[in-house]
Amino acid sequence: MQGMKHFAFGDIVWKASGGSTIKAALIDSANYTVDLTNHEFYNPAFGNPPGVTGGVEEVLPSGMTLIDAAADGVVDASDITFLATSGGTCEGIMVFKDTGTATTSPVLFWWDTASGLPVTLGGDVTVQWDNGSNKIARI
Amino acid sequence: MGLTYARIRNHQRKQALKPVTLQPVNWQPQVRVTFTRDVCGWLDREQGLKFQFGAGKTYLIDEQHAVEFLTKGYCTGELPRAVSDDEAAEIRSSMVTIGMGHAPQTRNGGDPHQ
Repeated sequence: MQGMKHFAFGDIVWKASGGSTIKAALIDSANYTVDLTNHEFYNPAFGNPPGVTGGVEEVLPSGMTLIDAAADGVVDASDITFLATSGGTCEGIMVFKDTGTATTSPVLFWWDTASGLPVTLGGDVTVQWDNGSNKIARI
Repeated sequence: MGLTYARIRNHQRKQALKPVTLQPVNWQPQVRVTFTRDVCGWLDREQGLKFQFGAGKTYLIDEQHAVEFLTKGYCTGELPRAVSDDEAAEIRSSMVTIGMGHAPQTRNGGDPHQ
């Protein structure tokens, strides 16, 4: 996972208007094992319809609503709600840039520890980003 | 001196009334709401088709979904009908929140908060 490199390359435009298409996904670790060293891009297996095969149980179909940074060095976006989920248990949350091609879509962030994780799918699942000073992440 | 006025004759001819036939429609009551977060759901799970409402954007949605989303706090707007406390509790019973505040986050093998 080399998200910082892609920020440095200028591949990621994180701003409210005209920004990159950034998506978030709920990941079932039974289907996908994170590899922070080698998994630079979105796993091609995730290109399948979510929930059918591959590791993604839920993914935002369009991009996240990005928020302009109010402070230096942080990235932020609106919270996300996945309606009426069903399936297994998700242990991780992944944020990636969607270029339209899995093999060129860099993975930016990965979480496997948060309040509410792991989450058993069923009903609505909301991912509530940090409302403190750190927001989604500091870069 | 009394008021004087002139009566203006209406020379316009009235159109003959035509019979109107009522046609039933299936339009749902539409409610205008503005979403406070990105909300997505399934249109067809088998086909992998999803929909998404964008945060900060205004949509017209049907009454049933408006009641659900407004009660859950996913959007702002005017409730199209009264919702009892019991019904609100039932609607909210299927909500789970993953809170990312101060969660250890991994990026490049490290914690981006450090």
